[in-house]
Amino acid sequence: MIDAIWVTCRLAFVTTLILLLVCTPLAWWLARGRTSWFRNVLEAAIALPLILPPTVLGFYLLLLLSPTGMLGQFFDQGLAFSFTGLVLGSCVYSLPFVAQPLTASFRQLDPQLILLGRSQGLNSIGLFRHIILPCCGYALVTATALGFAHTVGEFGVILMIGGNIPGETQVLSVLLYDEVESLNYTSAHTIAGALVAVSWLILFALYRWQRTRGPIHVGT
Amino acid sequence: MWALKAGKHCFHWPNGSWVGIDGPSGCGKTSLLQHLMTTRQGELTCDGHNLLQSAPPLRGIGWAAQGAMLWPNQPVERQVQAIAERHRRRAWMDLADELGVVPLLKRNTTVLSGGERQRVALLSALLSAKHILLLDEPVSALDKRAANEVLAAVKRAAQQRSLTAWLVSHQWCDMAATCDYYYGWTEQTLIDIERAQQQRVNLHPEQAAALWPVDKLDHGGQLYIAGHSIETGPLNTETQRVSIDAHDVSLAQHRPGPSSIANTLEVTVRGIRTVENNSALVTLSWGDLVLYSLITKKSASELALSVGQKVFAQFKAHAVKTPLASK
Repeated sequence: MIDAIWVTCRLAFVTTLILLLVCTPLAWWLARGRTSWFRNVLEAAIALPLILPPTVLGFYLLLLLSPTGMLGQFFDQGLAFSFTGLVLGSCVYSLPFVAQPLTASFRQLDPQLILLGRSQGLNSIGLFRHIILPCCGYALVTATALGFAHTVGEFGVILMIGGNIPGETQVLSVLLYDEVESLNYTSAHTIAGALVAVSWLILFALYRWQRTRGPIHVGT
Repeated sequence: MWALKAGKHCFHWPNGSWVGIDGPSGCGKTSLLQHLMTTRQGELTCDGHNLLQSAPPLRGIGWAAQGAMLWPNQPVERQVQAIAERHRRRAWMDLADELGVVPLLKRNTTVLSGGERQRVALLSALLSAKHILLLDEPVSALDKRAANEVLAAVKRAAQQRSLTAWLVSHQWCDMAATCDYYYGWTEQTLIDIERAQQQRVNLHPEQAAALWPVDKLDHGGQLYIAGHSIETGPLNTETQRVSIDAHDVSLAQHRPGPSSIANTLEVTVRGIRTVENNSALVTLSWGDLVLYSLITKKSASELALSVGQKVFAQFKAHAVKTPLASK
């Protein structure tokens, strides 16, 4: 079980980190750019994992990452059933949970505030540090928490593209499935209870923090 | 010499002077300022150098945005310090003190009142300005006395660095106290502020007041205007322009005897106009200066006033005020 906890935590951490790095500029572009056909197409594509059955997503990812797949062919044994493949699949599956809070937050940012920062001599890094982060920091925290919690709770996609290799691709949710299949209910209870507790704690901390932070006034 | 060419707006004004801009709400004043902050279209030139050709952070424009926008959710000091460092202004604490920002430095921008935000926004604009200040209703949330002090401090700081400024405001008294020129948005013309005051009197005769530029001010309650001296009440030593309300000016056919009224001027009647039902606005000239007296029609009739007639105008020393202290 320790192996499964380690794989789950490692997967959630790496996936969340990658998603934050990718989704921050992506969400900025989606929120602040002019409306275009391409932007709408991409926005809908990013939201797809919210409504698609994980098995559908897992099936296409399996084809993509297999040794003969579009992406897997560039690696010796493909990317399916490897930790790297698992990270890629998790990134796709959890993408809307990180991108959407960020996009919504960037959309609410007053454009005049950006103009003001520029007029005061701020470059892009200064704007992010002094204006965007203080305004949208809560969205970054929300996106991080949701991305992490959602990756911890992944099952369908992981089973499709990661299989069940202990120490490599076996995460807690898959281990739970194994234990239930083996009628080992004591161990299943422990894993399920731990997953419920961790997920609840993350969401409780998130909502508590959102409730206690005051409103942000940028103008009179 | 400064010049603006942006859309239908085209005017020029001398270096270091302040231009007051007024127009109906929603006519596009704030949009013009934003245009100058963002695009390369149009021209905002100072001695032939077009600021709009530079990237926005390098234009040297200090902008106090409408609504007193501040950097969100952080101590005031962090914002002010960061702007000062970026523009290499080390000695900003005195200016912060004059604007009343020092007690606010440790507070978060989120919890400031409207007036406090405006003080910080003005300090930030002054620190980031290299060539011009664009002040968009910068003291609208301050009371009259505070607005007077803050605008005087901004003007003083701007003069020390020869900064020119635009003051967008719906408060005529703000512009009358600080600006040298007035740009009428609807008329699209730039005129000096005294002439603008005369036009304003034509439109609103019941609010008539003389607006006189001050040459020199003595601590002893005396000021010098166009070679003449008049008695005043307590005035700020940096007062550049004084206002004398038409309600405070009385007229007499013969020079009155000694009284507590400190100022008696021999003036010439230039015009008489009926205001409302029972009042008459008498336009007077004292050398090149214009003075107004609002009297009853009965008094005008008893004095038998006529254009070109010499009369004596009287007003108390305390009737001479800064425009910001006027009605």
